[in-house]
Amino acid sequence: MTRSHIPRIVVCGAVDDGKSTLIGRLLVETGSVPLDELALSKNSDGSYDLSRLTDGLQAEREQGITIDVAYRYLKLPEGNRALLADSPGHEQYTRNMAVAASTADLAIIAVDASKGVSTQTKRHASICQLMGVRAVVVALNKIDILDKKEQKRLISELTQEIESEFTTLFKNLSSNKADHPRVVVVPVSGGRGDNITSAKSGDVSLLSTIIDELGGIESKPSSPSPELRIPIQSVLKQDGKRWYVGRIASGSIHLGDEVLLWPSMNRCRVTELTVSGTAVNGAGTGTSVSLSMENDVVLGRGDVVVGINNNFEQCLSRAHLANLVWISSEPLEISTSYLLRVGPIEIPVRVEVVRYQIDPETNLQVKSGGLENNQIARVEISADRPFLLDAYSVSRDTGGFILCDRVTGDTVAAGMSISPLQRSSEVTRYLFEVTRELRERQNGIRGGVIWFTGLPGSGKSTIANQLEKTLFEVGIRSFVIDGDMVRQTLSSDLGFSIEDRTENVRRVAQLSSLMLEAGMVVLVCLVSPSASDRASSRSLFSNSDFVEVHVDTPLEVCKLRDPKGLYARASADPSNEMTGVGQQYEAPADPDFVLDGTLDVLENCKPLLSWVRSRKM
Amino acid sequence: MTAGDTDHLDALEAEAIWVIREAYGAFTKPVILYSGGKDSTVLLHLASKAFAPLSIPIPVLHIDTTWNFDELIEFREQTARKLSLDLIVYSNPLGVNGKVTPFTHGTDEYTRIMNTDALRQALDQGRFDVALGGARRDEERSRAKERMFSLRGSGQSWNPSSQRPEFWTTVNSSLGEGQTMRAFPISNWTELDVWKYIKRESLQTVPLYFSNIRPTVTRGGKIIVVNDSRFILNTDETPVGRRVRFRSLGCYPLSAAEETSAETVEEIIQELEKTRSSERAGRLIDEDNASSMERRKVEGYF
Ligand SMILES: Nc1nc2c(ncn2[C@@H]2O[C@H](COP(=O)(O)OP(=O)(O)O)[C@@H](O)[C@H]2O)c(=O)[nH]1
Repeated sequence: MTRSHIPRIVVCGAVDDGKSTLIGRLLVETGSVPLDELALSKNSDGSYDLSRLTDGLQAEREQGITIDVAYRYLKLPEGNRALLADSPGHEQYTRNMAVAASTADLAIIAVDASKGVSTQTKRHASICQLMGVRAVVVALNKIDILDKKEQKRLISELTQEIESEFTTLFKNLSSNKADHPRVVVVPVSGGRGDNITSAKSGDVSLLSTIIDELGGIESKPSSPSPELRIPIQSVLKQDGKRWYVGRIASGSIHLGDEVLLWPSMNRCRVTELTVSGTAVNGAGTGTSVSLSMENDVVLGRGDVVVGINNNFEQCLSRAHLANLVWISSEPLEISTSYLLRVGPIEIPVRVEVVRYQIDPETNLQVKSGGLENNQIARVEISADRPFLLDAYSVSRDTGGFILCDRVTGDTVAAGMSISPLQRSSEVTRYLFEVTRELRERQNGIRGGVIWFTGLPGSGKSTIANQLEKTLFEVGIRSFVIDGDMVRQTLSSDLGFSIEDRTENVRRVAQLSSLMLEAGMVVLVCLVSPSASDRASSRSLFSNSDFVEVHVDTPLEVCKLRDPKGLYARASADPSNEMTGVGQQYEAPADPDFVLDGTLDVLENCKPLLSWVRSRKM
Repeated sequence: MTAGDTDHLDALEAEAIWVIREAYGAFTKPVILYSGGKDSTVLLHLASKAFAPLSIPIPVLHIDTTWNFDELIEFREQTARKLSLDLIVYSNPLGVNGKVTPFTHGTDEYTRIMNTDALRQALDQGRFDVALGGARRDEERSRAKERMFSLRGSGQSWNPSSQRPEFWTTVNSSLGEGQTMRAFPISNWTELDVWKYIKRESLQTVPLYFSNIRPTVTRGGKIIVVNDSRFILNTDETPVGRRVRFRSLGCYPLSAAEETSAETVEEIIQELEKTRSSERAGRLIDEDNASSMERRKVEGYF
């Protein structure tokens, strides 16, 4: 039972770019305004002030500006309709524009053709993107005042300018194209009524109208989240029986389904399912349902019913990364408790870190540790216990949240969750802005990890030494992490038991990972006899960044070489845990390179050198 | 009906039920404001769906101005019995015994005393922290500006220029000293949606919505139905039978009827699909000035 969706459209534009007139025109031409209401917009001279249709508050009409959102239906062709949310342009009312955009599928942004894209226009486009609006129709407005002869050229130039400005803006906020709203530019005149519902032939061959474009854009969520989420709103008790009621935020549920309850993490089966008082077998996203469960499970308001098969645990964390729009005149106080609300869920949280602010006029990152009214930032939010937040890009209703002041009760921020922050300790990691990517670009080459494994005395260090010398000569930064060096320093507390060897390998792998972050070519020389230890090391890296090199030298040759006298000592003491003597060396099954340690060192370096060179940028 | 209608009604119904349950779950003492009209009828029906199989666990408040149509009061009593409602009827004591009437007081003053003040008194006495109403955004342009959950300051006042923001389906239910909440489950319904839903759900409504011969007089171009002997006729007036119906019901001396032939729900729907006038065109109280609704709402009106 999937519910059909009435599309919502946020309408915005810089002050005086003609947004109100445009909406008025849209409403009038589509027959969306009753005539007696239209009469209220009549000027004393008999002309109409269409902006009065949506500026429904006295203060708005007096000041000639839009202060808050007006919701009005727009009739669309074929019996369809959309709910328009007319929203204010002034920066001081950013919160109201964000309110309108938060539930909008599409946006109409009015841009005055004689002025072009302004900082306010960009601000609106950014907020639309931030709030998850999927497509933007730019109404390139007031084309009637463009010079007749120049009109065609000007419109085409402006269209290009708008498209490129918006693309840059969207890219700056997210490199993921899926997060970029689609952009369509339509040249119109709200005042004269060109290209609103019908194309007007003039000097320009105009291809489409606002109404055409609205109809053409798919307004439904492209890929609704399949994960079941029913935040429980309330519990109804009927002669000892309990009904849990809520609206399906995402996914679907069926009679008899086994579900998981958060936060108790109990599993139970749905024994009764009703929609609007009628028993049903299943229900989908958007439906208000009532459930009863087997056993004596007890749920309360703010608990959430989730599916057992989905990756629910991944959305649970004590800390989440999010974008935050601050909408209170009181600035953010770091580490002060706020009440986070997502639907009926309430969690006391703190904002631990402001990673950076996002300037909505450019979407570029701005260094700042604070957050004030109308500012936007990327923050880390944490609580005392793990809590559930979905990615906003996947589900607005369970990924969008508000923060409330615990004293005044005011809503101080709207947040859009990005991802949970998974980490081993309570330490909040600061995200430094000089990244591996930047370092590598400066170096002109991607870093990497070359992991040499082989028996003691097989020739790992000799080959690594030669390779590093060659790299150094050509200016490629590298570093050798040698087993013996680590044993004397980082792992001086460890012995040679199986557990200690595993721990030693883990430390070396983590160290390599840090050095890879530093942009280095890391050469690891470690016996690493255990295949499983090597496998878990490898799992820290992406496949392209890591190669395993087996330096394959017969045990007899190693024993003969015995550069550190290890084999000699081992044979003198049978209880010695020396690899190759006391412990088994597990040769790699499928190494990236196998080198014969009895061959020429320079020859052995060649394939590795060419692997490193292939990583030039 | 066009193909999309049923789905739209389903979506609107699901949203309304969500609001009703939220009002019930997030607040401690909810009340449903009931006028007996079509919107209230739909609201009550949605509430019974929201809480089925239980009966509606929220008291229902009717602010009785004492100038309602008889048929409406009759319908209210029937409905209360049928749905086993916990019905509270409240009238401002000032209006009892005919001290404040639409004939002795100006429309504005009368409405303030018998509607707004009465509502404020009843809400204060009942210590209700959330009041559910059947207002719709398409009724009037200041209503188009209101949130679905709308915060009221002390004295039930509305501050339209600084409303509490409303994001997604998350309600900030925190209330400070003296604050209360209004919740509007059918905010996004149109008059046509209401009638299509009434049809789909086979709901009974007050017969005044259907055309019938009724005793009327005309004043200032509006047709007024003479409900009872309290109606003060001018010397030159004699009630005339006309075939009329109402789109919107208020106090009978202040509600204008329309001459139409729509006698059934289907015919009303057909009529509304063609009409170009708004439903409040028939409300005399909205005519005083362009911002009268907003001003009344600021004072605490429905
Ligand atoms: N020439 C021209 N002027 C327009 C057009 N649309 C609006 N205007 C004028 O631009 C000004 C601002 O219009 P308004 O709709 O109030 O802008 P808003 O602030 O964006 O809502 C007013 O003076 C309008 O008359 C148009 O299509 N052409």
